Amino acid sequence: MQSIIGHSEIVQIHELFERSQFFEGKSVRVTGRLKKLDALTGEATISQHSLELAIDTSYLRGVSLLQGSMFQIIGDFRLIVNELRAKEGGDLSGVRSDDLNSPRRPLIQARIARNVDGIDMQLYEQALGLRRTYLANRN
Amino acid sequence: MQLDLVDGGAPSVPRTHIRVFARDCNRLMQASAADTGIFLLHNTVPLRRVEIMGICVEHETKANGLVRFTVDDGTGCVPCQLWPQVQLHLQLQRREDAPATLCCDPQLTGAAARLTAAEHANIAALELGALVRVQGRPAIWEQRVQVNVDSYQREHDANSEALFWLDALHAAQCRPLPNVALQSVEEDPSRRQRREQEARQQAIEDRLLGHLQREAQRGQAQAPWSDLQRACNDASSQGAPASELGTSSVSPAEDHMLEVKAALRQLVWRGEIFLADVAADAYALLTDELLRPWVLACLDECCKGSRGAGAWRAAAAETEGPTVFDVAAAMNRHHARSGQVRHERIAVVLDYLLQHIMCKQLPTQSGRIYGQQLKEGKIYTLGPNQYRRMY
Repeated sequence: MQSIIGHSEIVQIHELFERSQFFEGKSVRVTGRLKKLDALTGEATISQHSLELAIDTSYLRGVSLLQGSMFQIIGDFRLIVNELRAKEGGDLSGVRSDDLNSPRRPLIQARIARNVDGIDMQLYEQALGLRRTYLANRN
Repeated sequence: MQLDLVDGGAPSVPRTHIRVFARDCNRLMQASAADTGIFLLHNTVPLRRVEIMGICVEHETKANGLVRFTVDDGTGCVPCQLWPQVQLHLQLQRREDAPATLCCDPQLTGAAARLTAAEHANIAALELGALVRVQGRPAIWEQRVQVNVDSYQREHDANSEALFWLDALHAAQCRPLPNVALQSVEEDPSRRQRREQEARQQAIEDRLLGHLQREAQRGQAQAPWSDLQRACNDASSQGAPASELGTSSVSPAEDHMLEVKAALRQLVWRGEIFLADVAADAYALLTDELLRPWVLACLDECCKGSRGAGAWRAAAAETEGPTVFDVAAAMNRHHARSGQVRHERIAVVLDYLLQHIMCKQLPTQSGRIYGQQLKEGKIYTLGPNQYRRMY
């Protein structure tokens, strides 16, 4: 099997927003709670620590996206043209003002989604921090 | 590294599965040519077996029953192989009436050797997105590390991954640190010499690429051989002597020139540069901008029936099409200037073309799916690891 898929870096949503240019085009893994899902467009929103991130779920297969559940999403991070700026009278509730004003907005084009209900996010984030420290020291 | 020996002269390498991250697993190095089963973790810790945990991001079942899958834990991707005999053994173990000592006997006969339909379905439980814990033995395949699976478990607890990381970190802290300089007792002098030569060649390749990139920034697309050789002269004056063989009949200058030529050949082989002007002996960087129209032309040629008139055009509704290897073969037939461009490079270019020109791909086992766009009335449709154009 000739694999051409690189590994997906585990990141948190605030890290994606802070370093969006760095992560653009890269494969990432994020964890968050599914806030809403637009079945028409296939766009979902996950949130973590009151930050929301759009997910393009149109290419997921065999995954039940239940609102309110925790999901881990693996996909490619992209900055797409912000259609929200053109919206008039649309539902802009929950949209970050940064997303509304910027020409591009962040989006993850998901290829794998995994339900992680029951995950202890505090444990997860602490373990992730320790792992990063260890890997940085090994470098 | 001094490997402790026990009675019989065998090194005391632990037989347990050592928990490692994917990145560390990919960086394992064989300890010696004598025993290919022993690997060195961080160039210090000998091991035979590893345990990794991650999400299954690729999955492929071969016709002979071999299952190949890739595990991604966020630090790297590790390819794993699950052999049919191991699958049989694992499934038989999971039966309620399995004996306490069930050895992996490929000669099992009778009812015990046949798996039920449910058991066959369980083997396919390694679906995309599943969190799996894999125990196995590392091996080198096609110059990269892969794991031959001894057993695996699908983890349903969402916290098991974080706990695995903590276990791996704890194990790393408990390992003794080396207190001597690392020098393998079993390493041959020729192996050390080969390693130093590889390091020298890498340095020369970096200088060549750096020179070509600087020339490209200044507007000079090509660089003649004489300039490239001059750019590498510093490497020979600063580094170790070109030849450590005291009795070499080749002068150091000639030796260095041979090394530079070898580095150039390697760069051409990897598809990073190509011979742009044969008469002037000038090389240029093989950028994606140059490669894209060539790849697209070769894809056209393949789809127009180089494999039989309209063979793929006739299968327009199916997911048949030339693979990246077919495109690579067509490229290397027609674009001799580009050298033997490796299929991995062509796959990257095809990926770019996927996203910017053609984009629809059917659901694949790798889970990689793109959207669809129409451009100039042409729809490009792609099958699993196969590419084609529809007119």
